[in-house]
Amino acid sequence: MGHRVVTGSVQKIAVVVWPIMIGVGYWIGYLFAHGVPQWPPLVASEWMPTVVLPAVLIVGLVCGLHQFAWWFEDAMWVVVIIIAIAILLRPRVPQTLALGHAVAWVVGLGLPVSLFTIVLSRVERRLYGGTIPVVIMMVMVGASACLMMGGYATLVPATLALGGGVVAGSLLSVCFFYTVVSCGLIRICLVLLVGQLVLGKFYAELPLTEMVLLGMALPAISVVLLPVIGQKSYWQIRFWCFLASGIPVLVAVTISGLKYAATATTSYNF
Amino acid sequence: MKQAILVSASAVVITVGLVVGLPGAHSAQSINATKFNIDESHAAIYFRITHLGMSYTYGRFNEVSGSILIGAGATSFDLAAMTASIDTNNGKRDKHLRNADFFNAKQFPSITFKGTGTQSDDDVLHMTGELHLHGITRSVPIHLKKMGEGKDPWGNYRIGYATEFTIKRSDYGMDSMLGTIGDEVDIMVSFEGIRE
Repeated sequence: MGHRVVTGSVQKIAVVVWPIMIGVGYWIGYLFAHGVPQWPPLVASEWMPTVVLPAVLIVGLVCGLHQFAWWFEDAMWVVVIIIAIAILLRPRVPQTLALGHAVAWVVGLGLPVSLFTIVLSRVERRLYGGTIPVVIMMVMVGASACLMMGGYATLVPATLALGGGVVAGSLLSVCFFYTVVSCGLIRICLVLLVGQLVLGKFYAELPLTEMVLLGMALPAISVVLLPVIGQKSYWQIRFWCFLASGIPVLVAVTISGLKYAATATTSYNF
Repeated sequence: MKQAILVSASAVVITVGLVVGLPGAHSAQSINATKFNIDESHAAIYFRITHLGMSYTYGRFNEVSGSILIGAGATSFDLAAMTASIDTNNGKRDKHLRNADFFNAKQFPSITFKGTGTQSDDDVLHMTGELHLHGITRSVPIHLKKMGEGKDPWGNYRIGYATEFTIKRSDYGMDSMLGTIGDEVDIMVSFEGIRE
């Protein structure tokens, strides 16, 4: 698996299939943990499946199907990312988060995430095979573990199912195209992952360190790989990808685990 | 003409009276009522909930505040508990309860109860109050028993109440882990107020 050249039509099918698989995956996980979200949303987590997820998937779909100017496509993602973070922080303003702080968080998180999505979308086009889906699954599992230990257990099924959707999409891709066509996937996953981490940080007790480490795990691919793509073998690139993403995930899970174990209390089973 | 001027003048007087007089009337009502501030060191909100259907887990809120307003015909209560102050004698569980799986303390920092009741002969106040929990407000019938009132050894005038009632946490959108943890929550409240 890996070196098969994919044509334009295959890529178009992939950019339609990925948002559907990811959306279905997230919804299955969410329904399992929470049931049907109410409208209008009352708690912050309900904004994810009802507004943020559809918005991200639609932009992913539109950008995949239509060839926009690069600057317009990137601008659309920046707008979606900023709005998504603002929507998720809104329920805490002004009761427990001052408007100024919320704006600072939206800008402080939104701009780097936007930059990473832009860089990742460029790198993604140059990567092939199942590397990206496996890395995404690894990051989602790590994020789930940290969210669990950060006290937001009901966010875990949706996060895991997000990764599950990616795995299912990869299997479909292998079945039909004999390779994993991952174009258009990583941006969607990064934005949704950041959404889950924002919920963990601002509505549970996911520490900032773990949030940053997990949020950096996917962009780390680009930081490490940009200089080596085209100069290294497929297996070397795959190795560096797993290493670049795996280290921050491993560090985040280790820190979370140590903090959880250090909580001075007896065992806890609800 | 003279009649028209009189009518206009009356209208102005009535309007001014309404505008100026209403706040005055409200103040007079407030003065007639006696206000008690909740004594936080003698206020307790405990709850219990079943675990696996085998036993009860007990908990409390350590930060409670509010006031009591006793008027001629009715008594009003305004109580608040800070959700972050939950205490079930297990640090990990308290952390989990504070988070979005349950009380969502960062989005809903307090639980409030507001109610007005009339006193019956047996010192019990019957009321239907508004319980605001987890962002949802629902009416809850409550029977508050007056435990006693009088001067304490330090010269303060106190009044004390206690009540017990049951709610369903799912009614307030707190439906995580139903089954493992029960739906019905028994709540026990007792507090003293000190007259201002």
